[in-house]
Amino acid sequence: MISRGQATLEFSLIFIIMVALLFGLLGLWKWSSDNIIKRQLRYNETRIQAGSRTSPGEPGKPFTAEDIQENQLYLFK
Amino acid sequence: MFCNRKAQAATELAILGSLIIIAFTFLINYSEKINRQQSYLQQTFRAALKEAGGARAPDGPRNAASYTQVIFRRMPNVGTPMELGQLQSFNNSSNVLWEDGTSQAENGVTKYELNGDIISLNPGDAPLAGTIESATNNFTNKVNTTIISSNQSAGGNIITTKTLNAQDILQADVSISGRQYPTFTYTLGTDGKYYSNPTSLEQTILNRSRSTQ
Repeated sequence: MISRGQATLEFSLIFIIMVALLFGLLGLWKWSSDNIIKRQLRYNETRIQAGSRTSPGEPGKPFTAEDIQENQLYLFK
Repeated sequence: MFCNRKAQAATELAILGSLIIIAFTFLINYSEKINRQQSYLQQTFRAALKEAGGARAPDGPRNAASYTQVIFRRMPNVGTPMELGQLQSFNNSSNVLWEDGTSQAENGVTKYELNGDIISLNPGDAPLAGTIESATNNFTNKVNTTIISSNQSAGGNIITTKTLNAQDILQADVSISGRQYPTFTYTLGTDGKYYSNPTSLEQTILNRSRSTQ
């Protein structure tokens, strides 16, 4: 009877420790994969700024297309 | 199997503990590796984009840019923290052709970055079309490691201290397009990064210490 009680106690202790370690592993994995997603989102958000002619810190110039001239119309015919 | 139950329990614990440490080791190393790979890949493309876009001279002509990045790092050593981790190299290369049809640069930009040192290749160094080019790069690590273990017993307590002092000097002989560059020398810092111009002791020697009571 005492032996069975000890086994239950040991199992309970090791079960708690194993669950804590498992959650630690899962937490670490989640943190790592979340970082990849966050980094990619930040990268995508700054893509237009990085691809602009003006360097960061300078006022951006809004892009406006020039009017089509008469001599350029043949391009669309 | 075991006559003594204590011996069996101890063996099971040792095996289980080792497996858990192996799992953590794999996960931490893999996690850092893929995160760094992604980050360096993004950095390389942005650097190539910046060079191609003429960001240094906003009104200058745009052109083609090739940017190569080689970075060495020491990875964390989870299983045996008092030893140096694995040497890992990250290589990325990006090419950007940015053409708006209105301006044209005479030559493209080709840059090679090694642990933060940037080498700008001269346009004349570029190989002619149709030629086969071979380059030999040598990377040598000189590692000097000291591990100090000490036990102090006082008043019924035992304090065990383990200290790691590691000096890792990375020497790189780089040859690009037939041009041999002077040897680059880097020292390993406490954060696992290699520094070309160390400004503090933390950027020269990897120092780690743990003590248990």
